[in-house]
Amino acid sequence: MSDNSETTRRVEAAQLKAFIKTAYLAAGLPDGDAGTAADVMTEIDLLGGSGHGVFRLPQYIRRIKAGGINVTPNIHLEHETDSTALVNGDNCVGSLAVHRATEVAMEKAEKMGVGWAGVKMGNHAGTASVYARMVMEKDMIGIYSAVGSANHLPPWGGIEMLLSTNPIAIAVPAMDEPPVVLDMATTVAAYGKVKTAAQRGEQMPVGWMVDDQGQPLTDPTKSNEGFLVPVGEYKGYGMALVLGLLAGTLNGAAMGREVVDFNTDDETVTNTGQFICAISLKAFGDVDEFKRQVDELARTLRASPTLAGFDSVRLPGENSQGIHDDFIKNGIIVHAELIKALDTLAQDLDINPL
Amino acid sequence: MGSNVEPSRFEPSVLEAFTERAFRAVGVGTQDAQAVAGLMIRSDLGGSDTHGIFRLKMYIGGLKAGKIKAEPKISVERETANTAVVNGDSGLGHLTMSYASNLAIEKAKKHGMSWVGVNHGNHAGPGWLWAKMALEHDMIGMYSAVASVNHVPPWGGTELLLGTNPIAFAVPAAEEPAVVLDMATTVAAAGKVQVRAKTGEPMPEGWMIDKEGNPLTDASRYKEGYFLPIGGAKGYGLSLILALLAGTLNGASTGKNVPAYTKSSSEPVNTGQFISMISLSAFGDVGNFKGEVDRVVDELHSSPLMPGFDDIKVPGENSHTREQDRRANGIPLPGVLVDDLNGLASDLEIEGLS
Repeated sequence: MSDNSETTRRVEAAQLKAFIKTAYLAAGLPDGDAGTAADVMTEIDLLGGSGHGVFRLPQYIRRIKAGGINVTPNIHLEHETDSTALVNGDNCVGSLAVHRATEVAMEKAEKMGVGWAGVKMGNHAGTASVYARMVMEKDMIGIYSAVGSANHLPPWGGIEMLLSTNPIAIAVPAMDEPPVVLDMATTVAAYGKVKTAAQRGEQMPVGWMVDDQGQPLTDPTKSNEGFLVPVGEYKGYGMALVLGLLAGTLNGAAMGREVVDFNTDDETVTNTGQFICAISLKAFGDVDEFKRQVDELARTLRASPTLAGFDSVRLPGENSQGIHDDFIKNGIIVHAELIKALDTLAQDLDINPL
Repeated sequence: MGSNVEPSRFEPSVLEAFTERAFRAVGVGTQDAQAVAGLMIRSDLGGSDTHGIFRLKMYIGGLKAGKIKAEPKISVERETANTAVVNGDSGLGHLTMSYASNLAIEKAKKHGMSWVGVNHGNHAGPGWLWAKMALEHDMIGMYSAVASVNHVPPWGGTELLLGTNPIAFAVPAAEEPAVVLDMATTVAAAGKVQVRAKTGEPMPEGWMIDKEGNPLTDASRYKEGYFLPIGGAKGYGLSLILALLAGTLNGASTGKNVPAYTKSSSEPVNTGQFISMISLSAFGDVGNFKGEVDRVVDELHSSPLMPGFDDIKVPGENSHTREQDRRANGIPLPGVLVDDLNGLASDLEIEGLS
């Protein structure tokens, strides 16, 4: 086989979605669930969340085949009040339970003003901001957090990895400006970034990781000898802990030592927890007036003078929005290596390749 | 008397009575004066030395200048079943936040959770004071505020358009102290920098940068530099989002409408805050939840240490220890502060502290 210098390919969103859906169907998901899971996964890729979209499909399917995910779950509400719900995902494909929770939280917010839905017995559900963004469709603010699917973070002052990098995403609608969407892990660098640096043979900056003596670790190939550093040190540790209590413990989901490393274990039920909160703008005032003020603040920030070494002041979510617009128009960029992995998956499942 | 090296200890009731006298001398009603004094001294008991009686002079100054109203008409501007916007009429921040917190608790009792925003509020002490209101009702409390002055430029910018906007969470436990996180979105709180400016101790790298983006370690020059957000762009994003939630959503000030800390202003600031309460019983058995929080806390406490650390702490633990000491032995106030307060007493012609 001749070596092709091209390392990426553009794939139309519809084409990717159809492939994902076919793969899920072949793995035993019912039609509706396969469609929903494919929609969410494609949306993640459209937003540039490349480490959390179709990249994860082979792993999800592997877990399904190993019996670690229930393909015909009974997703149901275990507890409910006027404003809250606890969704039991019955060990489903992660996005399905969170998708359901998002719908429930929005319904409750529509009626009450604010709604909150937690998830237990879920699984890895992909990029946090994709769910927070869904909430904006109804002129609501979305807040989402999850217990990460592997513990990468020791408590501040400790060396046992008891916490995950528990992400939080908050999406705030604007009028003409792109929405303000924050999506952050509670560590300075996400694990994916460390892996990328290792692949490229680059050193990591001081501040990303420390070794087990607490000294800066800059060689990414030694990442398994060290720990990620939380944002603001003990502050980021505190955030990871509190988000873990809200997304995990409050819902009766796994937290601390109970968390299963889903990268190395395909079989054990993870009991992953998440929460989503929806805040209806109209409960707080005039919706358009709010959005106009978000625009104004965004423009003020963007037009403000820059610090030496910076080209511009950016708003959270701006990059993703740019990628989304480009990918919708020109197709989603997929790396050749991933295409190869997806081709292998297609072969295993006896479906048409991408 | 003069300034002693060793701070003198004061009975909480003595400081409360003093604070109440001061407020009454500038026209605050007896009941309000008592309530605010109690809340301020509770902040000192919890170890928030820069957010309790330390602020009395500032509040009295605000009341005298008309920036803070002595007899505000606090009202509910908007309301749904589980949300409200409270207009504080520029009264003392503690009064408005008390009102908002009680309303949020009432609504969460009825409906499972609630979210109450504030406009025309004022500085209301440390965030944990409000988040912790949740605990005795078996609720989780979440609080944030737009800081009353701007300390932070956007990431990559140089104009002070954002505050150190704090966020606080309080999560009940069973036998263990509650998990209480209260953090500013900057690496160093403004108060910490001001203390170093007085003592001459240099700041560590990472707290502030100068106008060229280089590390600033001389605290006496802090007005020439910028506070750094935690995790760089992440802390900036968090601060912005909290400004939108605590400020814009409630019709309170954000961005250019908040004065920079380098300028003084005698106009009311229209400070915004929010408090959200989540009832534990909406999600399952309260005892189970608290037991699980204890389990996670135990795991963290008993996990192995990083060299250079004596123990692993859980957020809120330091404050809890300090409170026990201060309840037993009194609240320590540095001589300079006692002199300041006695100066205030003679201005107001009230009995001072001895």
